[in-house]
Amino acid sequence: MSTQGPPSYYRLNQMALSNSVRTAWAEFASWTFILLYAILFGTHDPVLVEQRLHVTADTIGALFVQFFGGDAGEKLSTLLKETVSGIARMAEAYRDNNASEVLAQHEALYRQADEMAALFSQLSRYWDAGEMQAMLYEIFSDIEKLLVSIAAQDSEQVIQLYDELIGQVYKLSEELVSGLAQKLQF
Amino acid sequence: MSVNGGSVNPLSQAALSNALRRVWVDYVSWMTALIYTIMFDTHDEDAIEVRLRQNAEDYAGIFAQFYGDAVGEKLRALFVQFQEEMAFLIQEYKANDITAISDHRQALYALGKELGRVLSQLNPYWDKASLEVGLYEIINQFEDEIVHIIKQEFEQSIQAYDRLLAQAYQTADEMTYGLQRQFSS
Repeated sequence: MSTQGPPSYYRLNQMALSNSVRTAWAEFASWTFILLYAILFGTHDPVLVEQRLHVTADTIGALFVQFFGGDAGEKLSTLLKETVSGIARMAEAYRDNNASEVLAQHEALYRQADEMAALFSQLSRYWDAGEMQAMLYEIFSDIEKLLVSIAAQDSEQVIQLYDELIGQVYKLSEELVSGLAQKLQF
Repeated sequence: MSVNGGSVNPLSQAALSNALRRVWVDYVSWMTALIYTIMFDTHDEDAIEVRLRQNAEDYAGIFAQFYGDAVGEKLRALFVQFQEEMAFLIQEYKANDITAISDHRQALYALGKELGRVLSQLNPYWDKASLEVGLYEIINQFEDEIVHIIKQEFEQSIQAYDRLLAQAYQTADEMTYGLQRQFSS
């Protein structure tokens, strides 16, 4: 057995996979950021931004299809689209001062995180449901705090939170890539 | 040097690729935030500019690891000028000053050319013409994004952002390829 690690061919494949997963999740964070501005400040048409986020949800789902089949990819894509809609409804409710709707969407968002974590852990033993849930909670918590900071025009907080959000989605991406690489034994 | 909290091992292709892609995606995100700030008064402009300066530091820090602090500083200064000219471009679009828009566009192209020249002298795997084209494309897509946001052509502005991001990733990957080739032997 070689002690020099996997051949460069495999390392390159893992890098391509890592780039695809990180790019898709970074897009998810970027377009969510843009969606919040669109809803709160009218910088874009929020419906079009939401549709663009659905494309990202499909991209992330498609990455899973090749490893776990069409049903798993479809389920993940659907959960992400529901998440996007929930974030949009929450931002609208926050803008409109509708506290009960904000709370309802907050609860729905965390239920979706639970479902996503459960899905990941069903797909691979590598992904622990509790760890995945904690990472998704961090991401959704950052998005909620971003919403509040953007609405308050607290620039320093917005900058700090968006950097944190990008860091969190990269952390999740690396966890996903490690699990996918184990499956393929890169 | 630390890139967003983590050390970059010059010989780790994945870490290098991640770091370069991160600085470019940060660049696109915060330049877009600057458009919103100037056009819609969404933020304190100074805070966004401070974050963009950090982005220039992160960018330069990666190159300093390979080529030394003097080169890193030169690239940082050029990148800051690039950011400043883009900020001027947004402001002139807001003011609808056609002459000033043209002046800043020309200044951006000159900076793109200079960046291409400096980078291509550092690494034989970075082609000057290809780097220039990539940087010109970033300028074009960024200008498209400004115009479509001003005109509230939202579908086109989404497409422009996607193209800008794709070009930023392509530029980052070109940098990664060159660094890996030059320093992996």
